[in-house]
Amino acid sequence: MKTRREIIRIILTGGGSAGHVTPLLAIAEALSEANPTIEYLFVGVRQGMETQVVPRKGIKLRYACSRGMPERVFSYEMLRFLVILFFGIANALRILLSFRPKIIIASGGFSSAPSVFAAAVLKILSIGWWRIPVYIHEQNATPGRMNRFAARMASHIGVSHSTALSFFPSSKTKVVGYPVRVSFIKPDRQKARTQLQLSPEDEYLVVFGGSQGARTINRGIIDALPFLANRPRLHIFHACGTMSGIEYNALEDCRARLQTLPNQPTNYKIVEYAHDLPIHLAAADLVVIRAGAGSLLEICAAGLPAIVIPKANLPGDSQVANARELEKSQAIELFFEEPQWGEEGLIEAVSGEALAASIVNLLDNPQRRATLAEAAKRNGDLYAAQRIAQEVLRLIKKDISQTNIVPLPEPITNSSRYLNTLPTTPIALRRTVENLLNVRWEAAFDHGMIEAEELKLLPDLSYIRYRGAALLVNDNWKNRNEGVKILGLTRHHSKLDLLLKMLTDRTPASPLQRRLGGDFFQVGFIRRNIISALAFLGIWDERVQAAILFALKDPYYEVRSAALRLLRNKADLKCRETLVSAIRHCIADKNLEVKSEALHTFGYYGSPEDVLDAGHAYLLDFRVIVRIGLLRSWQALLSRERVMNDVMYEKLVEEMNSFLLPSVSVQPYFPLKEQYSRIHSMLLNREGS
Amino acid sequence: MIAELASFLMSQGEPYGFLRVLLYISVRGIGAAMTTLLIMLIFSPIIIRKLYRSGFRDQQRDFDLHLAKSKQGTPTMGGIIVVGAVCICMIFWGDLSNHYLWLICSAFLFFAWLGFIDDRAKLRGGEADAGLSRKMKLILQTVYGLAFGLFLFYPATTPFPINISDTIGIPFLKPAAHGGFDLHLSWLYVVFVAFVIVAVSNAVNLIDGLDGLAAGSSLPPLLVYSVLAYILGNVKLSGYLLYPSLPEVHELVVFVAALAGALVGFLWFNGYPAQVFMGDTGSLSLGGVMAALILLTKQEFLFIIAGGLFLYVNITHVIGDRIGLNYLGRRIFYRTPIHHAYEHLGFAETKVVLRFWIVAQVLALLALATLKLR
Repeated sequence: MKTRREIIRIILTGGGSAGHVTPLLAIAEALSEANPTIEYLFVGVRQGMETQVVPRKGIKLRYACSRGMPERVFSYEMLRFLVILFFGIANALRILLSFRPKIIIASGGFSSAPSVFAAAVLKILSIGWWRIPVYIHEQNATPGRMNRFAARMASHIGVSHSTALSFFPSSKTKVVGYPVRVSFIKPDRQKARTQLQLSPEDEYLVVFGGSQGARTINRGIIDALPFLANRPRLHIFHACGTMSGIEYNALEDCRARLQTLPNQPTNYKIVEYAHDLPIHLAAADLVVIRAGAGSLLEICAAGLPAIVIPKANLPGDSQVANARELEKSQAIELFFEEPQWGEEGLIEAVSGEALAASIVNLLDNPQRRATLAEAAKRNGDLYAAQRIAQEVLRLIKKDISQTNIVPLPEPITNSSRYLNTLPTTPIALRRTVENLLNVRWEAAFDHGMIEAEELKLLPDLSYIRYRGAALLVNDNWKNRNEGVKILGLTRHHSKLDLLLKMLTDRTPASPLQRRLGGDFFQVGFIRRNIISALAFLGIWDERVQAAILFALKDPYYEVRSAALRLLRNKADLKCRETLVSAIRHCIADKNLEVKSEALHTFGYYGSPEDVLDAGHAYLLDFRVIVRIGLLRSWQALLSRERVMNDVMYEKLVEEMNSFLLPSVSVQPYFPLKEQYSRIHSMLLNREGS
Repeated sequence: MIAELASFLMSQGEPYGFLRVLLYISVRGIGAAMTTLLIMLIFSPIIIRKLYRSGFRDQQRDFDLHLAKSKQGTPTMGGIIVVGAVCICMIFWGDLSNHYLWLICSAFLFFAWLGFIDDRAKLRGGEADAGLSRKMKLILQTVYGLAFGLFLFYPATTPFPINISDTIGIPFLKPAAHGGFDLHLSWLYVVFVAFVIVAVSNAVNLIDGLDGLAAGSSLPPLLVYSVLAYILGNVKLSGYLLYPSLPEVHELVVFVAALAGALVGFLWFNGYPAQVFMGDTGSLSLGGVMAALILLTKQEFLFIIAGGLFLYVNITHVIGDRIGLNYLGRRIFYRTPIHHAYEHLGFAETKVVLRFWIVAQVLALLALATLKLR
């Protein structure tokens, strides 16, 4: 019997979400395969997924309190965070000293912080003449804050993607891939299907959106149920996730939605979390998942055809990047969530009908499913766990003679190309698009419709458009604003209805904002920019006209002013009488900018009698901007051919004579600048000719 | 220097007695003003040329299509010339043994340096938003403000008479020395000083947006405070007008006069169309001087009237920018800073500048009118 000394003890730490827990379990499996006598201890937080998952695997679980690091440095939350972390480190120290592990394996996230820091503390204090090495595994292409900070304390770091390499010191980092549990890698389809009592002709669809669930997928699949009802052989397994917050409670929301369906579905099972997920996956014909690093790679390892719905608006847009990478190698079917107008306003959603169509398409096409599965398998990395196990054992200087020393295949370094070409922050993305198109947003009305040739200048147009649409759902108005601009710049026709709905949406802003002078949730700048976007989109049909009519009565002056400016871009179109009278009505507006723009626009739309009549009141107006508008209305009138007749011309001259103009001299005269400018243009002409 | 020279020569004997004239504050003040004016007029062309050639040109923020284009390329950092002229003049005309002079010079130079770093960073960055971050600027200004406050507070270093060293000037209230009431703040005074310095030093920065606006609008408040300094420094006058007597503060008259002369000389070139801008160097240093001025003469609240124009611009900017543009997502004023709003409404730039000058002058006269109201 081995003494306590000879048994290797390893601490696994990480958690919060299952995405941090499952890789550790996979590593533990691989390690136990190499050395069956290893004893494990899992250190996690009480509120994490580990409480549900780890004990079922037969691993001991202890807790060290910890919490996520808040964003703002000088805040009450930061203070609370530091205090909790302090106690967490104390907990972890106690655990370390009693358990005396040979190594700590951390998967990142705040759950692993206490143990990692405790090990660092021991190292600094050099207590017990033994150092506990720390092995960190990073699952994402863009490493989280915890791992980035803890890297300096780690003995070795393993990353899943080669893009993450740049974040860590190269001397101790290696690409190892993402470890997947054995039950995923070698699924026994027959056994699983028998266990679930499925017959060979049955179609098994597994839907899950991560351990915490995904509202979009949950709602989407339930909405899709009516369209899938005519398939008697279809069995659906839906793991809706454990999220139970104030805003969204997964199970309740799903149940409520199920009630509203016309017929209750048969062959449909819904659970919160599937502990035996590998069995379901083994038996599955098709899955619908999110694009989290873990889920994707588990699917790839298992070689399953999948419909992937990435979560939009994540920092760095990581899920979309991961997913597109796989789509490029034809390993998955990509399905984007779109902003839609729901009960809570604008949210990301998936159309049930479209999803059903996609599912049916794949179920009816076993050939395509096979292709997807093969490509997925090729993309999957089956040996990551063993690679990590080898590394860990090397770190604790143990003999690895029991395992196959056959060199493991090199990890697939799928460097995500998309992560590096386009900036991910909304403002930077918009500025990049502006630079590529050589257009400035403020010049929207002058520029007019974006031409097809211009759009060709943009790389990856569909992604930029998707990004713009996704931004419309953001909480921060500044990001929504950038989303509107991007949609305008990329001339995304299909989002026109959404934009018009946002323009006319009257959901009020928060009470504090309203007290300070704000009006609606879609703030003034957003509404104004939507109208500018309409200029770029160049569409002018009934619904746009109706929206503009509505905008002419908007409480915010810049919206009215922009609407009037937009109308000038389309002055040649026949408009409804209501529109023309609405423009005339704006001339009486109290706001001077709107008044001026209204006069100018009316000059393009009204009959000469009306234009001269409307402007008559302002001939002697003392305010400069109003008189400028009046003059522009006359200029507009004169520019319209065949509209003026002699009588009107005489009337115009008469009006001009009554116009208030202090002196005739038009401009200040700068001989120096004028001469310079003249020479400049002469040189330009010469170059041109 | 002139003062020392004059008193030295006078001690030599009778023939030099007429030099007593040079010791009078008014004479030294006007002399200083003339000197700086001459320096500006003579040396500015050369320095402007140099600035232009060295590439110190204005980088415009490019959101407003119409305004931005026309001013790009004008040499900036003209504040250096102003600072240089005033310093040279002070060495010559100033009484270097006076503590007030050193205090106000320190404020002048510190903020000039702050503005200089900001300007240089903007030039290197190539756009209007580079330069010291707002937070960094605020921290530096607060630190300086606290140091200044401590200096004014401790009896060992304060130039004020010790019994009133921590009072602030309440308008219309007679000080204790003349039968009224003094508000003592003790250590809160340091915080108050820091607050005033941070608040006022940014005042001029914002108004520097049109040709001749900053320089022309700062002249009236500066002159008001120089009059005050003259009164406060003169025992008889301050007693007559019921102001607390601050001996030695009259030296500030010379400084402000020099600064005024330099500003007039600067306006010679800065008027529309401008040949040079003062940049952050100039506007921050002007703001710093004003802050120090109102603190050293202990008439802080008079600035609400005398510097009312600056308050107007700054308050509308805070409301329009912080609340409007950033929080509410809509404009509250047509444009901020408010002088751009008037331009947006169609007023010519020169008209806006002139009207602002008129307002500044009227407010200054109003402030002076309150002198007798005690």
